[in-house]
Amino acid sequence: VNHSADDGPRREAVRVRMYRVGFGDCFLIRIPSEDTERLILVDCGVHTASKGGVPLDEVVERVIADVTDLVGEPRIDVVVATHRHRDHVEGFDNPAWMNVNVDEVWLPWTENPKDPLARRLLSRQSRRAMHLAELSADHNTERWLAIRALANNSLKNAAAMAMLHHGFAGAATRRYLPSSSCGRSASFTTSALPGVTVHVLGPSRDEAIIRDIEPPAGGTYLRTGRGGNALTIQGPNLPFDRFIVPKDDYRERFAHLMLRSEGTVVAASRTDPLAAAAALEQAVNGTSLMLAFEYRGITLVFAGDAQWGTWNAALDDAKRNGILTRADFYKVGHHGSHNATPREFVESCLHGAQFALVPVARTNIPAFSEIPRLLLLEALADPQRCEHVIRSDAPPETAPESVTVSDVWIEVEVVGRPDGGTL
Amino acid sequence: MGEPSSNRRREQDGVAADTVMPARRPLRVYAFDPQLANTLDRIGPGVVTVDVPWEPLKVGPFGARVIVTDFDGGRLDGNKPAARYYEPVDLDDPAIAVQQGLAPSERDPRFHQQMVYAVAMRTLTAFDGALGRRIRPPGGILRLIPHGFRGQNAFYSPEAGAVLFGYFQADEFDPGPNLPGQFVYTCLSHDVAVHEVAHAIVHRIRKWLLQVTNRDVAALHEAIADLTAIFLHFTLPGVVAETVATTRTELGDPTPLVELAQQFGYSTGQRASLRTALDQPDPRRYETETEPHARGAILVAAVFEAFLTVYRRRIADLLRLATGGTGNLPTGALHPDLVTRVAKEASRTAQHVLGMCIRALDYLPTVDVTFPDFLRAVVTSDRDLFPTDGDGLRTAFIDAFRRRGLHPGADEVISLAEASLAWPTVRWADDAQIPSRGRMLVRDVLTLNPRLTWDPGEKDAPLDATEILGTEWNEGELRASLEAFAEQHHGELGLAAPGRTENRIRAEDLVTTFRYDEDGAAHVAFIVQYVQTVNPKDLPDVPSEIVELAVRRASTLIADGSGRPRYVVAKPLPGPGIQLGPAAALRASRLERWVQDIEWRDPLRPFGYSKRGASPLGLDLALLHGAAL
Repeated sequence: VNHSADDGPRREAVRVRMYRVGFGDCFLIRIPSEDTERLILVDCGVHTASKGGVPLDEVVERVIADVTDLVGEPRIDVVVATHRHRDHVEGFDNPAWMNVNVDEVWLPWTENPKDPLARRLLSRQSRRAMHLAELSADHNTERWLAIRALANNSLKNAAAMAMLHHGFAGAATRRYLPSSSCGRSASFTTSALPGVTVHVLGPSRDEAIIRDIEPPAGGTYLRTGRGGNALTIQGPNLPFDRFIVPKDDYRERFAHLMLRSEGTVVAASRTDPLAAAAALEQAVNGTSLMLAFEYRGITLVFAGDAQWGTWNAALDDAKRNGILTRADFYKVGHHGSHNATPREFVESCLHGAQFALVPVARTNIPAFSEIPRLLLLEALADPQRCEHVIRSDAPPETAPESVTVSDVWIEVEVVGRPDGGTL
Repeated sequence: MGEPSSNRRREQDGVAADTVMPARRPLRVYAFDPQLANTLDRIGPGVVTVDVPWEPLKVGPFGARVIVTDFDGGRLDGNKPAARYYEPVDLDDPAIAVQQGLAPSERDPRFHQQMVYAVAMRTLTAFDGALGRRIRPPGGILRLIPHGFRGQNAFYSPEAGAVLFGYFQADEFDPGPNLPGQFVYTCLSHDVAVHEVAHAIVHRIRKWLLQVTNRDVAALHEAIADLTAIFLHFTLPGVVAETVATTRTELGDPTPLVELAQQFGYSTGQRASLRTALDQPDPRRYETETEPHARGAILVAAVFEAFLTVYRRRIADLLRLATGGTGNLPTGALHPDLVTRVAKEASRTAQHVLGMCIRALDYLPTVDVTFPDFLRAVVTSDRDLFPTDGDGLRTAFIDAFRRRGLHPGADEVISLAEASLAWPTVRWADDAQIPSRGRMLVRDVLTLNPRLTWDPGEKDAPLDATEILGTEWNEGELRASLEAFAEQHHGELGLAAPGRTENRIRAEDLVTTFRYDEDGAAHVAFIVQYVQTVNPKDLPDVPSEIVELAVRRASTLIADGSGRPRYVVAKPLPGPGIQLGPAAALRASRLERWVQDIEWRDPLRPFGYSKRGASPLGLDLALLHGAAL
């Protein structure tokens, strides 16, 4: 429609705009096409603990204004929500989206309301999040603040999810990925994105992956709730009432049996709530969509917050490993944290990429100080692996031509490889 | 009469002088758990009377090695925690003693105390017999807390020196044969109690196995605990015979005999027992399985298959006798005499197989144990006592392990022949003998048949050693002499040269074992576990805080009765003066990969928590069991 030639991406380039929400993800991908450029919005949210960053409501307003500028109307071809963590979806809890036309909404298979396994997973995860939120409500130490922040992030985020499932203008198609229709290869094309091949790298439905996102395997930390370690039962019919011996009597009559430290025994049986909260965070991250977009030999990898199960499966599979090896652009997983980007990917796959973008900000949780993991960012920034590693909270002072920095976003232009990008 | 140092009870206790006290104390327990006791489709009796060695007891029960404290840490008063103590049982109360302990009841906590005491004693006794020494629990006494907390869990806590049993309400929607919401007590499960006490004992024998330095370490802890629980089923009166009759001697059929913790499994919505000893052998599972209980189940199934092989071989003649030589059983019920004889073979074989597994613990490396190490330890320890493998027990083990891929690679052994799997015997150049063995011998002889003191919990050794040694017992001196010996021989032990402050060698555990071989001759062996700290510089690719906390060079030294080293089971790592260079480098590279893997999976790692808390390799049995007991 009516954007100037300078403004739009060149035919052979893809642009990725990282909105500077703080500790959260919001990316707009701009893909050239015969008519107006095509737009993909990947996530829109911020963590409750985030410090700094553009307020989320403003970001949403800007995204809608920006897409209207770019394509002449409030319209996004594909909206992707990688997983239901607040720092990825909260922005969708905003009525302004009701005026935006969306062709397709993509969610991980774990969000499919018609899938019984998905429903069970989500209800368990939500119950745990609620339980942890309740437990942490009255405490204000540093550890409890961290627990509350983690629990809040995993709460249902119902309003945002409702927008993704039922909202937006127009009759958007919902895809739950990987869908059975895209077959074993887990790759597909769509008329909404001409010239683009989408590869679904995760989450898979492998038993191993599912075990990571619900107990027992990932569940060593997760048994809270009814009958779990962290919760005590009350109510009538408590057993053994008539056998209770008041403590003073007991000390007098059975001194030889008294515990030296009751506290040690009680503490031993308590699940560490921070461990439980961290494990829940990881379990929900494990449901994260991991996508690669290929357009004219340009490969963009959006890892969401995928965890080791998804990564391992992708790295072990020859085809997916090949896709990862071709990455020209990498959205760094889980805000650059230690265990969301495997060393094997950095050291053995990543080669000749142009950009790695890290959406991150400081938080008011001291325990989060290891995010981003600086060693990881340094390893990524090896010029053989990746030309530019850019943090949303620290844009480069002298930006190269292919990078545009504004107060609200940072945009990069990704081009094809000289060798055509094929292997 | 003089000292109350024998089984004669003092007059002032109200028992006539010179009354000989009983050798055994019969106590009633649930054979499996209350759920099986209350259903008709069980096999064998729901309630059995077991005997445990008699010992003087205080109310609790409180004996020499076990103390039961019924402290309930999970009660609430309104919203506030309100821990409570419950009335303890007096097993010497005549009204209780004459009826072989209280009758099984879910409602009386005193029965629960009686049951955990009885089961813990059975477990300790099984280990004593196989190890050839009297096991003292970590810290001297093991505390059992039958209602420690509310939760679907039970675990041994090294910090509290106690086994904590949880209790919980059965699943509202899927409780199996239990009432939805009914209370389920893990302490009333024979399997759970044996399993947790076995963890405590394994911790006593190999305390470094709480450092999970490879996939097998935690799994082996679980497997030993499960094997003990499974094979103790075979000592339950009446259960084996009835299973033999019902399965027509096919003990490999799924029955409660080969399953673990039925009530726990069903009441938590799993629609099955918690675990089973049966599997379909598949070497890929050992490659891919990481969850410790599931991985441990591979080893459990291998050992159980070895048991079945030998059991079938041992009853083949009985079947031929009973069937005029055909070996084909006729239809209809088996003859009760046949059932009795077959059951006897089953129990005897179960005891042999469990004994082999327990004895192997002494022959394990001190740290970083793997399943192949366990197989090698089984073969070595069994060969020492029974050079002729008459019934093919060892062959059966090797075969069952091979079918599941649980064997060392060609880089470690020449073949899977017994002689190659056994740890190599060593011969030190200077014909060295370990020091202080006379003192060790005296100390440990004295613990074999402990003086039964009238004050339960009082140490029964090495107090008496002074009388024989003529000098006060000094554990520190013994340790120091063994450490000096190791410094002198660090090369042979696979340890690095000790410096002034670094690479310090510690003798962690020193024991004497007394065992009888196939000719009935007594065998004495001295076993010392040496552990050496590692300078983080020697492992540059492992975070230094992990090296300091969790990574050690170590060596198990097994010396024969003359004090000459017979086996050195070393786990070396690179460092100054290391003689086992290639093995050290191999272990270092495996460790590096493992630590990366663990850190990558640890949910707390991104939050910078591991640095402040424990090493991510530290095994927390409570958390581990929260998943699957």
